[in-house]
Amino acid sequence: MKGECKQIRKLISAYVDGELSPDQKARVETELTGCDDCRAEYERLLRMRALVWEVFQQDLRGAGERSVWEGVEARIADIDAARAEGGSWAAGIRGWLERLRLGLTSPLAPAGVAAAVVTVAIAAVLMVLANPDRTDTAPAPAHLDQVALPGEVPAATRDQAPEDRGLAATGRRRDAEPERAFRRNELYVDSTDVDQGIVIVDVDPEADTPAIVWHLQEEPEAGEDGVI
Amino acid sequence: MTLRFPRTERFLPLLLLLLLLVPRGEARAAEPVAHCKVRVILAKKGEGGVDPAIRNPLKRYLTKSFGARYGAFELLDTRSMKIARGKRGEIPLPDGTWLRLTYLGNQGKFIKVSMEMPGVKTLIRIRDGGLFFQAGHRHKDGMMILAISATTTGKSTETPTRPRPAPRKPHHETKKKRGIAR
Repeated sequence: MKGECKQIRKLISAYVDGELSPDQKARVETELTGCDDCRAEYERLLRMRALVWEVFQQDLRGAGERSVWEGVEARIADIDAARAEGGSWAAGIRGWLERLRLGLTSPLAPAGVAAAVVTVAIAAVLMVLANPDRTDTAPAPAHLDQVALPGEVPAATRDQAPEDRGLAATGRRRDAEPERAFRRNELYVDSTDVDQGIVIVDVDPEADTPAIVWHLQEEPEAGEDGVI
Repeated sequence: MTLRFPRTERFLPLLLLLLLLVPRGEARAAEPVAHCKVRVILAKKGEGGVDPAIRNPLKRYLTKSFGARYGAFELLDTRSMKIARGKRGEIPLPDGTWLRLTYLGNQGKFIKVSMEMPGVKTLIRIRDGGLFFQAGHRHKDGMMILAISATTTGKSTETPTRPRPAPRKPHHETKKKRGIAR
């Protein structure tokens, strides 16, 4: 093999791929017309290239290049259709989830997720710190010792002596108390401070009639019914 | 073909989270207010019925609670008060006295209210939206009945501690009577 042929054969592959400068290309073409060995090498490379390309094309078809793009386009069409529907909540949510799924493939997605988690954690801590004693779930008054039982008048004057508790004193325990019915006008008296007269709390626990807080300023005389 | 995914949509979950948190902040800032309505009713013996201005369920409550002793119920006055927590509202009464209501806070589903009239102060807990009567004061030739209802708006903040009980009075002053139940 001539020295010129050696140099040209190194360029044949690049020539086949169309990567040579015009001067190199002219040199190679001159050599190919004058050297049978170089021409044979060139034709061998061409056949090999054609073979590789054919195999590559078959692989692409096998991998379903067309189907991949069809899938992407179909998905986009679905999202656009969901947007166009507008009124359909389900379609909107489906479209949003789809966009979210694709959006999470973004390099920024982990940062966004981390920011959301940190925000939730901070909000939870702030809520707990701001109101540690919140007990909204407890419907009953906090001072359960003051809760009246069915058939028992609620705390009229809990701070009075037992002999003076009158209607409010029954001595029953609340441990065995069944679920009390909701009473719209339920009322409890925590304390009374009377300078003149007496206070009586009149409650009918069986009915939903409002309680009456009586303030009788005058003692009823014997045989009189008082002010009532 | 180019996929269009606006950058803001990627952060939609974060925006939704912030939206969920914002209303809580506003609710926290809202001060609770008790809306108290006081209807002053004159109950008399004899016939007369219930004032047409008094409607159900108050009409039914009056006749059920006081109907055995009184036959005429006249609406003298209606007052409404908006009372902030820890604040006091006062209204004049037809007999020349007054009624003071102090909104002390909420306890569960109950509103804590201090009701004060000349010579008496009572701390009560009433169900939010409920109604009760104050009665016993003579007026003209009958008895004055106050129908007091209370509802709260805004965030219901629990009162952390039990209010101090009123000092005990000697027995002869705070004597309880039996036999007045309906």
